[in-house]
Amino acid sequence: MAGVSDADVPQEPRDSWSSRLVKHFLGHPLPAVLVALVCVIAATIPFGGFARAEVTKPGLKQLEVGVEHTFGPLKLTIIEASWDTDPQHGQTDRQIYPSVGGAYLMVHAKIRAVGKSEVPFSVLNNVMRVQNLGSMFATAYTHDSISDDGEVTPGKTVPDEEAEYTVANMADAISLPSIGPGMTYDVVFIFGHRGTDFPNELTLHTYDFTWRASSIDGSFDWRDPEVNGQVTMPLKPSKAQQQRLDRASQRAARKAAREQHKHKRAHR
Amino acid sequence: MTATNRPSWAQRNKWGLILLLPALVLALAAASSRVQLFWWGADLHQPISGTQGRPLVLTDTFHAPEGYFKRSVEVTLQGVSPGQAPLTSLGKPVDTPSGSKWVSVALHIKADPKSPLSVCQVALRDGQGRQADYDPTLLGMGTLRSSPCVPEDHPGPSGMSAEEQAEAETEGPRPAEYDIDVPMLVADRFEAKHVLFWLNPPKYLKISVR
Amino acid sequence: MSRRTLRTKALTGVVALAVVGIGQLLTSHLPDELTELRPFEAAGHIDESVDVRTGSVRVQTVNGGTSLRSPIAAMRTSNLWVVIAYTFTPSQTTTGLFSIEMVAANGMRWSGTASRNQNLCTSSVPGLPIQCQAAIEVPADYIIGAHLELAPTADLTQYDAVAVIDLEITPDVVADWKANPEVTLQGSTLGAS
Repeated sequence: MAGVSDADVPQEPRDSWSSRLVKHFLGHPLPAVLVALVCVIAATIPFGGFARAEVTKPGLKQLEVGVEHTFGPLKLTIIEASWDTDPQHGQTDRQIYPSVGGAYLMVHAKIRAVGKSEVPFSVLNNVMRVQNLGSMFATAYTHDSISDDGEVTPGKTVPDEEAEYTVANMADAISLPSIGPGMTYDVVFIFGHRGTDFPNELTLHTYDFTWRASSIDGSFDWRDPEVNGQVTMPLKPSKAQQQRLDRASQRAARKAAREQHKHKRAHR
Repeated sequence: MTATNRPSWAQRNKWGLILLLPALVLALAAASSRVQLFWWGADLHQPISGTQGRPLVLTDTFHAPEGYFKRSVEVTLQGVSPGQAPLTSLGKPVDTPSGSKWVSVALHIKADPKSPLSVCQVALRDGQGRQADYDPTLLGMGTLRSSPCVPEDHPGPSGMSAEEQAEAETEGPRPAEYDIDVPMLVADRFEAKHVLFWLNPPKYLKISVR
Repeated sequence: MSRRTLRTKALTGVVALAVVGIGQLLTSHLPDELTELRPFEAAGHIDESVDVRTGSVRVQTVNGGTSLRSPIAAMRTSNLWVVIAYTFTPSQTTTGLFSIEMVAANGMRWSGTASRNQNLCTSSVPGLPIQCQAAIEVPADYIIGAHLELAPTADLTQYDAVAVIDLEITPDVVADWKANPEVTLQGSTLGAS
């Protein structure tokens, strides 16, 4: 402190070594803090010290079909899965055309926007991906294409987790780019698949989001889709597709029977 | 330490004080660059004034993928008069919205047939500063020609690339000099005082109507 | 060390405290981020003309139903389609009205440009009205007491003028709309109605 000079300090009698040490530590907070710190570090050694904890990825949550789950601002109830080569067959007001070289994989679901603002495209179109399927087209509508003179251009196939889908409103089959707050829709998540060779079971990975500010402009949004759940459900042809398949197999059976009949007559 | 031979505060901080002024100026200048970036160049701020009947020249440097080019156009306002509704592609006159009228702006334009001019814009300004632009989409697509100041059948090149220049040649080059009427839709009580013509803001021609 | 240095030090301390105090006072009087971004709101009713910086807007009719017939497509919904007919008259420049939002009493917002919604309003010249229409899909459960916000520029109503129009939506109105099978959306037209 200012105003105190060496001359003001009174001469003190010499202390013992131990009392000097105690006085030294009690008089100065810094060494005491350091000693405390060393003690704390020493105490952590049996538990592995201050090393970075190993990041253990929690197992994927097993989700149930027919139960509502929350993904960021979106509530999603997956109902069932089916496939169809021409989902809007015979309808006059068509949004979806017959697949060339494949089929549409459709996940029926109910979606709700629970927050005060809209569920953006970045959430709605990244909440699920298919697993262990293979032969997926890049998007719902980029199947093979056929030109007027019959030339087929193959569509691009991608790894399962890159296959994107379209969310179509069941009421009018028109795609939803985003959904407004408070809104509820019955929808179909439509994927494109090359060929009609489907397994009996479909596994989906679901993704959750983090509400955080952008590091560029500070605007808040749901970002960083991260896989957090898994749902498995039976995969069947749609009702219309099943009828189509049944008719085709009946035709094949009739044809086989005719062939057999002819064969028999020829050998009689 | 004694106070007598110690330099004063001002002396000790001499350099700081000297540098403070340019630092302030620099900070203000840096902050004001946004005025140039977002405001000055985005709107009409540099008029070149003239009157009806007198030629006015607008020169600018523009950027195309092939580089920077200079172009120059000489515009003479010949008159502003009540106009007829322009014809649609089917040959019928366009419906005139209720509460509006057509004004015809007669321009004489002189420019190098090789320079792209179709980006030009024409507007009318009245005594209160209200500005009615030529907007080809006002009455829906396809009712008005897309550019107000080039002939529809010989618009000249749309850019500086070899293909764009060649395309203009096959269509037939734009005349070096031509008269053109610009049909302008304005509100009933709009009286034009100035005709504006520009290629790239902030420079524009401001021609007073006699 | 003299008494004088002690006094100087005390003075420095007081001045430093005073400066910090003044700074604190100033910051508390400056507008915070939310206030400075706040638009300039002008309240109005249906069929009342409201100024919005680039012109004036007048909401004429509001109608609702369970499907929308538009020049683009027929859209059905389990929610409600609301069609708003309004007039915009530019005052100084050639422009249109590009932002329209329905806002619920609880703060939910449905923009005329989001999702499948449409705001059909092109430009007009100063003094000449343009008849515009917007179709906005909304959940029937949340719209009682909702109002409309109309602003000149799209997506950026900060700092800008906003017309706040009371839509007078009562439970009876919602019931009527739920029973109405179709609303129609036409494009915008120039000229006084």
